[in-house]
Amino acid sequence: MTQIMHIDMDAFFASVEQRVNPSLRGKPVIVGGRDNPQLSIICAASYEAKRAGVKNAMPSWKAFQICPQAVFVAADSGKYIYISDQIFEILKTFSPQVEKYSVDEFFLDVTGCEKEYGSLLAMGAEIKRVIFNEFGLTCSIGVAPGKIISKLVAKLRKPDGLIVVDRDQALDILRGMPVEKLCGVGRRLERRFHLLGIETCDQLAEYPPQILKEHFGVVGLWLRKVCRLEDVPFVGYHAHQSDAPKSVGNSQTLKQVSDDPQYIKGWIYLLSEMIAQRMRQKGLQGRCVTFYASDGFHAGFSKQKTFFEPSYDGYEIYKRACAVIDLIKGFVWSVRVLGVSVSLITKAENSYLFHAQIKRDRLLKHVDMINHKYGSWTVFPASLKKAI
Amino acid sequence: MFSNDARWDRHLPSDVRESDVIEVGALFRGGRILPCMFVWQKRRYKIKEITCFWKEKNGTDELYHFSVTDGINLYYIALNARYMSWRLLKVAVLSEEGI
Repeated sequence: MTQIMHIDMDAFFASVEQRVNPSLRGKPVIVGGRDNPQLSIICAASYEAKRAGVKNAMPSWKAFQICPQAVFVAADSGKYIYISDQIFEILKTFSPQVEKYSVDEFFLDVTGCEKEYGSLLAMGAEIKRVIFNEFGLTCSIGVAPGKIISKLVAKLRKPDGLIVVDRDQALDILRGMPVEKLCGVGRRLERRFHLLGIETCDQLAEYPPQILKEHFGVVGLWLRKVCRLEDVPFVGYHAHQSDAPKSVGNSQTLKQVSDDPQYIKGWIYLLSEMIAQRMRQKGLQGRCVTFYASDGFHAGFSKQKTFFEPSYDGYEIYKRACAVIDLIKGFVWSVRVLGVSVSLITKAENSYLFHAQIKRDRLLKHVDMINHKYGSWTVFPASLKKAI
Repeated sequence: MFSNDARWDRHLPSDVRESDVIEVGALFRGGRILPCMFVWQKRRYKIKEITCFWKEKNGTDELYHFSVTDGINLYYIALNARYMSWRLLKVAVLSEEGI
């Protein structure tokens, strides 16, 4: 039987900051954006802050209201990415089948590994020991016969937990487990499941597949399979390194709600340039542009449009994002959170006919060469400086 | 996937100043760099603990970052492997909350 191990670093960003600054250890720490600690979004909270009621993705002013003694630290992604990569390298010594699911989550196919370590529990303990010795960080580990279930059981023992469940125990855990606890079930899907009378994972497992397919398509069928422990427990070997992305996007939370179209468009241009740079680095281009906006109080909305020509030019993506905004009926320029993404990605293979296009492409290549040598944003469109 | 390139302010030169070039005494042991002391503004600081280490790239430059303490303050120092030069990037009082 296949056994999958899920490793979830505990309050990763906050724990790293507590390692970096010893005076933060044992204190409620919240990690957010660089601009204004009062106008940020919490991207990680230490367990001390979580115990006081602070949650991830909470506005920082709310976090300070709940936990006034919390210490704010500006996020520094370079640190987190490096440590995450190092953990990934360590995990590759335990199993050849490792997947980096996110910056702080990993999957390992540990089928048969009990022979080497005595038991999967011993293997999990050894992984925890090595990570702690190397970085001083704790993690929670769940082992189960499926990816989603291993992620679910790891959560049950957070922080610093270790749990190994077999098929029967996993089915026991799923019995009575609210369906929204499953990875992939968001608030919208949860509401739709509830409307059908599906409250728990075991109810979902027994639900007629035809009706699920009708209402939720393949997602419904896949989640049913997960609840029946029938999902394909594939752990992609270095999956994220080799796979081309389905979309490339960036979002930004502004310091405050803005009703200035020029300011908002400045940010759209900046996000478009960031996307374009990353696409060019990977030799990709995309045809579909999606724009997302929210005022921070109400649910956001998004709109997308597919264009005939694919592009990796930041200015072109910006113009397309503006064209998408023009499609939104009654769009109100009152924005706190905005995002741009490009999808329908293909390999960048352009052969231009017109001189202006060739010139523009040559310019982008030279900008990229300079930025590659001297660092990102060494050269950037002057209009961005004015806008931001 | 979480990407460092997704941060627009990544290379804003906000914390690096020309005057913060420092001299560092370091051990190279077991494939690791272990800074032991540094001289900043003619004063010598003995490093008691390296609290964290990470690497970053800035263009073709490879930067080795260390957060270190002398028991009183927390210092962010970085070695630019291309120029073999050390810089002091940030200082914080250990008891001071946050950086």
